[in-house]
Amino acid sequence: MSIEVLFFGQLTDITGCSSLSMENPGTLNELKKQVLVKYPGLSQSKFVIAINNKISNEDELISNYSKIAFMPPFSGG
Amino acid sequence: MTHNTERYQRQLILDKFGSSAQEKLSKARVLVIGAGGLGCPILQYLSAAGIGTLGIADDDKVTYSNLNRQILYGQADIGRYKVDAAKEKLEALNNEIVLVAYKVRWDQDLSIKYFPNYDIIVDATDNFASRYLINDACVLLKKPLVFGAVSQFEGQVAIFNATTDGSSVNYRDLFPEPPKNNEVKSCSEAGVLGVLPGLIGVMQATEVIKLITDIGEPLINKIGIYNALEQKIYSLAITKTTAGNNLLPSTIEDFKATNYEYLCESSTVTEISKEDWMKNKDKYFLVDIREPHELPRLSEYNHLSIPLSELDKRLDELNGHDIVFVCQSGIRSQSAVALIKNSDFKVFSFKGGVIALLNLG
Repeated sequence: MSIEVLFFGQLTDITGCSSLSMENPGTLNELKKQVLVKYPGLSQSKFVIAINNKISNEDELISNYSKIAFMPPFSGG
Repeated sequence: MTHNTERYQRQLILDKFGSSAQEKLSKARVLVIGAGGLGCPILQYLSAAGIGTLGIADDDKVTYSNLNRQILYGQADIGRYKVDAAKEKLEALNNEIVLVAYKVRWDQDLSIKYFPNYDIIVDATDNFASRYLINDACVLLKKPLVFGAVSQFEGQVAIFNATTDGSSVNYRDLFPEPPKNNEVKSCSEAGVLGVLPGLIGVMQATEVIKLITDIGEPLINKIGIYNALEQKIYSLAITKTTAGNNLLPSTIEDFKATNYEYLCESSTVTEISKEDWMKNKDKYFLVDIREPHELPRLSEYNHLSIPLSELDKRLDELNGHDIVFVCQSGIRSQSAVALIKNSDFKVFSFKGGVIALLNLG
């Protein structure tokens, strides 16, 4: 079962893509771990993570077919 | 209160709008901080819509690099203060509204003094120091904040602090602490497509109008992210966090004592302009941090060459001097400053780099 992961803003400079699909790792912490292994550069970046359009501040279960978004702060104006 | 019915005819005939909504706009007082890429379209549309009192705050002057997106200004405005040029254009657009110009860099004292005069604050600034300052002021002084920010091809819009039942979120619920200098690039480093702040600014103006007239579903406690390349909009719900709450200044005194420039390591604190450097040339030791192959060389100025890639290993060569780092355009030199900021001598980044120093721009 897969999930869709979206990257916003300058995070895509590191990931080289704005979305990818992957196997559901089960929990948000596990997902974070796997994404950081795949893109070590993200450990230097600031971002929040939203599961199905809701920003999550703690570990959570991820249900199949979820859409997970990694969003950094933007400063420009 | 009367308003020119012909001017607003197209919105007056709207079903969900009408003269009662127009009346609310004409009584509203909105402060727009920043008259740049976001500020220009916000100010234009809010003036055109008939917002009764519109505050404009900015301390910058118009430059050529502004013209790809800051559409209130033309070539004849280069070198003028943005607030002066903006006020003139907006007055010509709508002389039935009151425009108040603040030719200042927004700070804590101004927030405390002027926020009470306004119903809604609009963040159209371009740096984290101002964004956190404005956010904290709005929480303290209980003012709704319409937030907007851009980066490259994407933008964010949100409404913070708009409810009075305790459910409101603010920017610190998203990002409790400001990013450090190198965590997020600014538009001057990462670039921005000219139309992007236009789109996001118009979205901010839309949210302001919705808030005032009580129509639709404003982005309260949500953040909208717009991607221009894919023409997609995502909206994410924000939840209150204790981490964010704990970092808010709890009193006016705390707020006044907070050094936002320092918290956000704003590049403005450590930059030195060519003009200021020329006045004190003997005081500072010039260090060219470009790699050896980069041209032109700085042969006419006394300097030391230490490529940024070797800087951390050659710090002992710098001891005892106040230093100005220079690179090609003034961006890498900011990283150099950040790298050795805790040393016991002063370090600056040469604004505009070699391009500015040798007048190549």
